[in-house]
Amino acid sequence: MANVLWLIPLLPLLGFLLNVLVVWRDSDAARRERNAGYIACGAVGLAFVLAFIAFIELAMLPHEEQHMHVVLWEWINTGSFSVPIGLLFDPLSSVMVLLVTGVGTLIHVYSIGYMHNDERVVRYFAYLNLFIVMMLMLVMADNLLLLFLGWEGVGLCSFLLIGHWFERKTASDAAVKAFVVNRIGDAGMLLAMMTIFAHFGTLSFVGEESFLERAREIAGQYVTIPGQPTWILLTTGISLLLLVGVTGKSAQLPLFVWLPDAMAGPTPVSALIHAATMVTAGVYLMARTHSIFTLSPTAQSVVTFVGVATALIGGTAAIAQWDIKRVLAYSTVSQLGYMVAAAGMGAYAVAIFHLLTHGIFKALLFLASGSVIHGAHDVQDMRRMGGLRKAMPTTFRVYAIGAIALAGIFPLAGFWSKDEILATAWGKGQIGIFAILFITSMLTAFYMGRQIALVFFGEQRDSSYHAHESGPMMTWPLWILAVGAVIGGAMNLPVLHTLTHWLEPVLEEEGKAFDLTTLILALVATGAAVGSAYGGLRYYMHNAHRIKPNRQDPLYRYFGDIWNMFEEAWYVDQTYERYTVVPWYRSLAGFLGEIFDPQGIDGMVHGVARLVQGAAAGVRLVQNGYVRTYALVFLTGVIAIIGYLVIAW
Amino acid sequence: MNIAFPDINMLVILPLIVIFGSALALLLIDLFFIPAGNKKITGYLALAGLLFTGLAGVPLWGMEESSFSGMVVVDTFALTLNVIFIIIAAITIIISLDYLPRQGIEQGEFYPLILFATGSFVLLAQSTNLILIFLGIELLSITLYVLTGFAYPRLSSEEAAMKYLLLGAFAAGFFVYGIALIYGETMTVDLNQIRLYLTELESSSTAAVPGPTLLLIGGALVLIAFSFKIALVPFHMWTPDVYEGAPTPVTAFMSVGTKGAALAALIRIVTIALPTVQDAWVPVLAVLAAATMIVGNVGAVAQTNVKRMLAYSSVGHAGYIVLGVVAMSAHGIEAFLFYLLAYSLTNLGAFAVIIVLEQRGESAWSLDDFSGLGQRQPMLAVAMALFMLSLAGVPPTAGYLGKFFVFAAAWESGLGWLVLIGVITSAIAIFFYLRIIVRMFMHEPVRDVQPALHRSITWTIAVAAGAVLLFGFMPNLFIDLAQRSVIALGG
Repeated sequence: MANVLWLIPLLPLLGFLLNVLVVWRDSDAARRERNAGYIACGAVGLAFVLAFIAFIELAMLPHEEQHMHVVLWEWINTGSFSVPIGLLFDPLSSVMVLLVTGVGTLIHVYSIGYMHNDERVVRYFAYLNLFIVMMLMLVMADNLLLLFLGWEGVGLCSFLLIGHWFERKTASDAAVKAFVVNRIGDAGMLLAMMTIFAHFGTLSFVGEESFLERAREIAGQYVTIPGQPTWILLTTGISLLLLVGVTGKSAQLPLFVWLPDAMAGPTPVSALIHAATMVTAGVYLMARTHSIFTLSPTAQSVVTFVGVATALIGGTAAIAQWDIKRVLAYSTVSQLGYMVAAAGMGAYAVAIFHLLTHGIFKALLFLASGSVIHGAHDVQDMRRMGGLRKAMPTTFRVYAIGAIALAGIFPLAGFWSKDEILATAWGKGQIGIFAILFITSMLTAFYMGRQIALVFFGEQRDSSYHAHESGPMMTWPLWILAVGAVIGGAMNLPVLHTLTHWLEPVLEEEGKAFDLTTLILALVATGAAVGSAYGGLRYYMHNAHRIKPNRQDPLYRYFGDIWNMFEEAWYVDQTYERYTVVPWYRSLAGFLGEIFDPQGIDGMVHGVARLVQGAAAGVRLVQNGYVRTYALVFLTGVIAIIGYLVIAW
Repeated sequence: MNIAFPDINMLVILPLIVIFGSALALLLIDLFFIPAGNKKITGYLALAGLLFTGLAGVPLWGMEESSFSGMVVVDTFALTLNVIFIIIAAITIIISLDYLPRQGIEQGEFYPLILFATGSFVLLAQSTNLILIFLGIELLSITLYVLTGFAYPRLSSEEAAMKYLLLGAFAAGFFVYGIALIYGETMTVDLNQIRLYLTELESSSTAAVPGPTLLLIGGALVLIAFSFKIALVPFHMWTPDVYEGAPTPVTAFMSVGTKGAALAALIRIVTIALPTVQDAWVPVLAVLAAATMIVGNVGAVAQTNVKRMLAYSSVGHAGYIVLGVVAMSAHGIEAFLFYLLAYSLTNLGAFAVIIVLEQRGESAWSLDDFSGLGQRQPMLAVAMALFMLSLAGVPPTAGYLGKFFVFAAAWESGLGWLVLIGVITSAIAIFFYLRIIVRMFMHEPVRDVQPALHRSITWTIAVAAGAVLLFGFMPNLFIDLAQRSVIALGG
């Protein structure tokens, strides 16, 4: 299998090419749509099957040798600088690949139903396949440069897919915003890569010569080389630069603002890219480069702080949203904060565990919300919903399962992974962090209860549409994901620690012992979650009569401005608007656009162009067609060369 | 006087025997058996001759031997170059098959002449003796004079041939004089002997013994003669006129094959004979390369005639290839070989597209022919765009990697200023390559051009485009071969 590892990303690539080159030309719209969907699903589905076989094979290997590495070819190799295109399939990559292709397949199938009759459906499936290719490249890359290629690739696909309905202003604005905000993160990534290359001379993850190993080596030496930064400064610098990249891609403070807006894209895209896979790339990156992060306690605490703050802001913002998808978007921001916080506390295996369970149940929630939106004829405002459980019984059931899983209620997937993070914080004695994460988990349960109440219970508040259940193409992926959300926790039960053990060759972490404290914590957390969820559900069911389109939330009475602050996600976006966009954009853009560009850049370009053209005219003048002129120029050259040799030697 | 016949190993010159033999045979066959108006058959036979030449290289593979008193060698360097030369000749013949009758200049001699010229390339790649190199250069020049004037009675073709002949004779004089001076100093024309002479001189050097001045001046004259063939500034003046006037397949052939063969011989001279005096000639060649990159690319900016634009562009590319030589390192030679392959495929492909668009009796080769090509012939336009991007050095094409490799080699040899000039001129070059792409995809058609797309030329363009992409992604397919060639050269 190691020899054909490249087939896994190749299949979706073929799907993309087929759709772009062949299917697109088909003149029959119905056949075109059908073929595009089948090709895209088949490609990803087969990739999943292959990934699963590779996974089994990896599992059969002895624990220390669990590692498949293929260098496909050396793209560039000139002495000191080489860029191999190599794929790595180790325990960490394998779980990511399974998540990407597995959840990816279900979302592709779901898309056939969801995107039915969309006029750009071929384009949609082509980009979706391309996204899978790029994401696989990101998680299977054996060096940071290839990872970065995938990193940029998923960013591009995200941009293209958010803007799928580009004739809507919000969608195209959101696409641009996502792209621009991610640029800031990418700048951090680039600087990190350059620093790593400058100091370690390699970008590879694999083997003794990898920069991860070298970093460990220099950390062992307490000798400071003059003129070189100390290793502590170096690792802190690299970690913080990588963190900048993570905050962009994984929607962390202060760069999370693009994610809620990205919900303007089609809902399956939100499920795949903006919940299950792409946004978790940052967490994957931190796990992959954990040996750099762990060398710098400073960077670790910054990471933890960023994660915890993001978790809290995301959680509070989610309770005050009216848009069904924005609730989930802020919830994703908050849960990503959980993962980053776990990584910051050094519990990378736990972060990956939460990444995987979250990938399943958040994809489920997004797809189910897509089913709601689809059935409610593109209504997204929860104030116009209500009572949909009668019209959409299946959607209601899977939504409830997803919500319970997200809320962290025993025994569903979210309970196990979230509890591990809480236990880590408690175990490290970080009581402040534990408290914030605990409050956030209660908020999570509360807003899910609120959402269930608003969408599915009571009476339908806006009777202008007839809600209907979605077709089987959309519901059976939901059921599969629902099963995953129920049993997903089994992959890393306490005591057994299957996943932690599986990831041990990469992350070098031991599963924590199970003790009474952990048990009490689990009981308290579940109790709090059940209580908050019930509270949210009851409160909004009781106050259903107060909820009307364009009215304030019933809780607004008690919170007032604080509620507004929640709704606007602590005014982070507005802060950017006021302190960067308005002053800088207006003045700087004005200066650049009206003075610097036309006079500076254009002037330079035109100047150079005039110079070159003048020189070219000069060349033409000498090039007059007369052999005697040519011979004269020839002779001048001869004299110059001989003269130089005679004088210089 | 006792005349001893040296050991002769005919195997060493097997490719030469095959190619010259098939050229001579073809000349006779064409004369007596091929009816006029059906000269394509001669072309196919010539292709067979090339195939046999290639096959003749197979048993020699891995061999490293010199024979005829050390005048001729066979090694991986020569054999690798032979493969490139055969590819160049084969593509030239295929793109001529329909071009010649369309232009009304179909004569059977065309194909044997191409074989003779290719034979002289092979000779140049295998020679280690100045007299033999001179022979190769002259054989090459004379066939090219004829081929340049092949479009009789088109006046520009005759004029080009005349200019080429006059200046070529001028340059040949320098070559012979240079050899004479070198002989005067060293009493030998064998490259290995010259190196021995120089090392001895160096080891016995004291302040009283003068440096090898005669040899240096002689070497400079030889270098000048080569600069003329490769079209380095300021010995390039003939290039735009000759390239424009010659029949288009001949231009394509000259722009890649002549440069490659002349540079191969130059590399033999400088690496075998002159490495000890490289402080003297490396700066000279570096300045020539810099001037060539600047003049070639700046000159191309002002052209509206596509064929002339490509002529200037080929001058510029000569400068980049020379970077691989002045680097005087293993990486430099590798880069040279890769660049030659990439540039050959790209340039032949681009000229093939021009041939497809060239109408009978047409001598405008105007940019307008390309306007709106993207609408009328999307695949042809995409291929042309790919060739232009490769010439401009944009990833992921072979041309990009070729530039990258020569720049990297020059940089490692401490020629940072040359790399800087290379990068700046590459940026200038993007202007005129992109202009064609813009014309093809963003302009409306100006006039109706019926592309003469025959199956053979379509396949040639497709294969060239595919190879340009393939080597852009997987340079290692060729780099390994190049590395072994460098070892053969003793690098």
